[in-house]
Amino acid sequence: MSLGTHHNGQGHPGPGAAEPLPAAAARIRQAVESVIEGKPEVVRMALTVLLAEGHLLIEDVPGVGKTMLAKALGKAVDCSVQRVQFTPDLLPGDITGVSVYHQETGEFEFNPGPVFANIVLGDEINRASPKTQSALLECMEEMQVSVDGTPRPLERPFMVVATQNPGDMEGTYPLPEAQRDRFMARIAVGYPTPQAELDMIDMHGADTPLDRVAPAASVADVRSMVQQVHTVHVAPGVRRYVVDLVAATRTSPALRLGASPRATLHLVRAARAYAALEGRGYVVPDDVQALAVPVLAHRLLLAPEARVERRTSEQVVAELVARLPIPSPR
Amino acid sequence: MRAGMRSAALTLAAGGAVLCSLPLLAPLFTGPEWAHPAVAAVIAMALSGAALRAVPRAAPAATPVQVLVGVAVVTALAAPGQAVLGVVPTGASFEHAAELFAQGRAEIDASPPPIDGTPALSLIVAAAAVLVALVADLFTAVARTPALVGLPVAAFAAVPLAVDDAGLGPGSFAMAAGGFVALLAVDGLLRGTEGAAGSPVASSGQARALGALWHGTAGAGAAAGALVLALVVPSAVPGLSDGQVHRIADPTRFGEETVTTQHPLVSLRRDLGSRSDTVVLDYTTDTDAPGYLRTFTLDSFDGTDWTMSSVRAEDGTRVGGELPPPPGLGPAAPAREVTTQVRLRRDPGEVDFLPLPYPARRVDVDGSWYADPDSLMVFSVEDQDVEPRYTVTSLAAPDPADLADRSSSPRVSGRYTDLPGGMDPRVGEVARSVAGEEGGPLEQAVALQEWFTAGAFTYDLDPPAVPEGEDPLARFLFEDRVGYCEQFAAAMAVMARSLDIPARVAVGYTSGSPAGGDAWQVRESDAHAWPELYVEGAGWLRFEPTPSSSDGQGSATVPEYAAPGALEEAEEPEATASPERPEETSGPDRPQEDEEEPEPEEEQAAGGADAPDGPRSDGGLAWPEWAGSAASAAAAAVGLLVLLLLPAAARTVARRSRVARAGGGGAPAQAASAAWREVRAQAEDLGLGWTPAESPRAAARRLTGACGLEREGTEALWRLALAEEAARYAPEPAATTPGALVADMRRTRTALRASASRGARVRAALLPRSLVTMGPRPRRRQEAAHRAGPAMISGRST
Repeated sequence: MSLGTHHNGQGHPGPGAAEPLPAAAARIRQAVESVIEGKPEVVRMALTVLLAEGHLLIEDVPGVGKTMLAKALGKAVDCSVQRVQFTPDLLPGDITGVSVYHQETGEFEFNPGPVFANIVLGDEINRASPKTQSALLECMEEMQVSVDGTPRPLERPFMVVATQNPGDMEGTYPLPEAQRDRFMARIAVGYPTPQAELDMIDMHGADTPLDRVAPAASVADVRSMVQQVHTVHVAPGVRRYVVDLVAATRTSPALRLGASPRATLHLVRAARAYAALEGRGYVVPDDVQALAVPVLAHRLLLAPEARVERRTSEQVVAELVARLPIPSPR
Repeated sequence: MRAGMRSAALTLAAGGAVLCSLPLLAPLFTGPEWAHPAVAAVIAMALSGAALRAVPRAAPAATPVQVLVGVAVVTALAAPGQAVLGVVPTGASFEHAAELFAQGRAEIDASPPPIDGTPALSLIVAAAAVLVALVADLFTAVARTPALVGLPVAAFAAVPLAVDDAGLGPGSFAMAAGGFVALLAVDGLLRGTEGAAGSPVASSGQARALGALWHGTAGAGAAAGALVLALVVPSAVPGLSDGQVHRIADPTRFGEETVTTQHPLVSLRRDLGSRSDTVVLDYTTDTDAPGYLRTFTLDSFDGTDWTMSSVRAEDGTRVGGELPPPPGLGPAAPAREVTTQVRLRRDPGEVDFLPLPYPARRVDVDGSWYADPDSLMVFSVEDQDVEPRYTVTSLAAPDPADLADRSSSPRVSGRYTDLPGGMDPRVGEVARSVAGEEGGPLEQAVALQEWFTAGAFTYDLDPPAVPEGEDPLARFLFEDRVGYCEQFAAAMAVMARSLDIPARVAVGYTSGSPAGGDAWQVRESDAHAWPELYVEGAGWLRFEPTPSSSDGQGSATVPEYAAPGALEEAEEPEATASPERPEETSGPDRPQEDEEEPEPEEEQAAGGADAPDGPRSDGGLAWPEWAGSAASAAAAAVGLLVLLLLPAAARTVARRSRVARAGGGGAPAQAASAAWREVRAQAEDLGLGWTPAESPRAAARRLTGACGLEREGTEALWRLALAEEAARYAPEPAATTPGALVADMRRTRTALRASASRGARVRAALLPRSLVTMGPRPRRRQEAAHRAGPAMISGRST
């Protein structure tokens, strides 16, 4: 697996030079969108999570391009991509790797598992047993793998893109809320528009579209972009706004479980990345509003009454956003 | 519901409210004819307006068409002869209308309400109704502020209240209030169906219906509650009962309470029954037969007592020498004037009415005194701390010869012939049999007077007590026939009224006794009461039914014109009665003509309640009252105009201040904030709404979409939004050229206004909502936000 720094031949500057983040991001988006047709918001969200050093949960029906999105993203930033197909018989060691006794040296040698990659695609994560699921989730949170008592750090950027079929399908172990909480955002890809679907037929008829994705940035570029995201200013009013919004999920009568403090941190980080993608040096409430549903909704549990009314947690969050006053000078 | 149908419904509701308020004017008129043109005009205007408003493209024409329809209906009903096709007014119709207006004014001036609903008055009412309907429609359908319709409706209510003390009938008030409440209910319902403005959460159809119901009930309920409070609170709060609240609001009624604090009858009985020889006043006069000195008159009879209706102390009636002309005096009145100089011996603080000879033409007195133009009473409403001296010029009593060929003059107010229901019928019968049917009022009056003084009645300052429940008048007339001046005067006045002769009871002093030279002295025992009867051409004349000389009121005199036989041959009047105190020799002297045992009159108690709802205001006061109400109406109109323009002025000040802050050299953040607040104020004024959950760019996006702004306006709006966003959230907001902000403000304003309907623009100018929804200028940024926010977030995210 290639972990080295890659230059794409167009001579764009390395990490030392301060290339404006939006330009680099736009190139990455362009590259990914050449494969994922007609889903700019999905691509944007995936990039946001990447730059915010979070993990992405894609929840949708099979065959809408979940895997393709992850692969295209990995190819566009020219970093290592590993794919794990979760099945009920998958063991934790199949993800983290195992120590194997080496006959010649007489020592145990660590065989790294697929989690040692920049982008780990966990397909149908809800098909694995809870034990295996939690092995991955520990890696996600701690950015390291502990096998036989030896911590092995994971290389950054590290992003898990897990896909999950909607919970009401057969043969699944839905992620418990505590584990859903570790994903920064959950998005749905959704069906393409008819035109996008037509284009897709043409494209897939000729060759494999993924092959055409040229790397648009290097791992070092991504690290530099992540550093730039850290410098994005969050005004006190906006911080307050985030806290108020998260607090509102905890008091909403429609919700049995509100968002955690971790959700607050995720929301601020995502908002920084989102603002940076727009080339803005500061977060505005609109960033928070745009991210509230993807960042918060999957962490919430609906109250029974709301469930009876067939409301979704996305709706509840949208209502909270629509009602919460934005920070204003008043 | 479509917007057009909503506007149409509002127009109809406004018309309905105006229709319901028309009965408020009913107390001013007799019969229902006055209302017909007004009703027709209001209905026609409401229907035409509603029809046009139902079609959105025709809606702007609604108001002009309503004006035309109103004019056409009024023309058709008032002056169809001069109009083309009967409805299109021509120059001649306007002339005719002007004539009718002048005629109507003359009719209003000529007689106190209620007056007949002549065509001229109908025209005036219809014109007023057209105006009110137009204003109500503008308030309701265009400005969407139906609560203001209460103002023109209140104007309807104010006219009868200003003219008539009787107030509004409960029926007409309830009807007007109901119309108003219904209008608010309709408006509330429609607002509810529009959905809560600015609520971003989509509501279901059921929720919207519930919302409509809630809005309707809330609007109508608030109005109804306010009405009920206004009616109930004054009577429930002890200090506010007795109409004090309304008196405060009505300065023309000032002082009336002071004048009648001492019930006239109480002091009357005390004074008239007095046998004291204390000198009350003395005077010098240039006539050798001075008249009585009248203090006040009692003009209202409730079946038992004569009382004084309220008099008004207003600037127009202040005494400054000349008094108002005596009512009813014909041109042939005697020109001979008598000058009397009076010195009161009483403490001036006790005097609230001046004893004056009638009819006084001129009074020179220090202090602040008022004249009642109807009765020529001169009174004060406060304690006078001045020398109790005054000079009065009055007219001498008319010659019998002058009275014989008197000319006719306007009749006096009908209240002077009012008698309560439930009177003993014998009073009228006796009066007719005594006075005869054929003579004029003067002859009848003299006959009545002679009947009293002929000897059948006995003068006694201590008349037998009237048993509880009996009618004192009937007892005096038909049983005891014993009494003193009060009973005589009251009985004669009642009998005169039963003959349809206007009458009232005057109270004061007789001429007193000569004190050498031209000086006269008046003592407490000279206190007296006598009837004043109104004779056309001669005005109010005093009569003297009380026995005089030694068997009666010692100093009483019968006026020349009323002396027996004076009318036929102008004889010399009887000599003045001897001034010595009369001997009270009273004997039971049974009346000759009435042997029948009288029944106790049970209905007397109810008599007052049965009193006809006649006009209660003084006829002679009609002109000043109407003038006063016209002046106060003009003042109210000016005040209303100022009130209407106040919000616009406040809004202009707010905008100027924001423009100054946006264009001034202050911090860029404050400049951008001021500019953005102005954008928000404009949006709210134009009814575009504003939600606190909307960020600047979200608001800009919505306004751009909702208003369909053109490119220049859109760009200006976005520049302002982004400047405000940077001002709020950026670490270091970029400095903008101040002039650019102001220019963008102007562009945005123009663009927003251009996208709004005319009604919205008018409403934005006259009733800017931003004054209510937006508070004063913001304090320093984000004081509160600093406290709790950063600690939780900053730690691990950076």
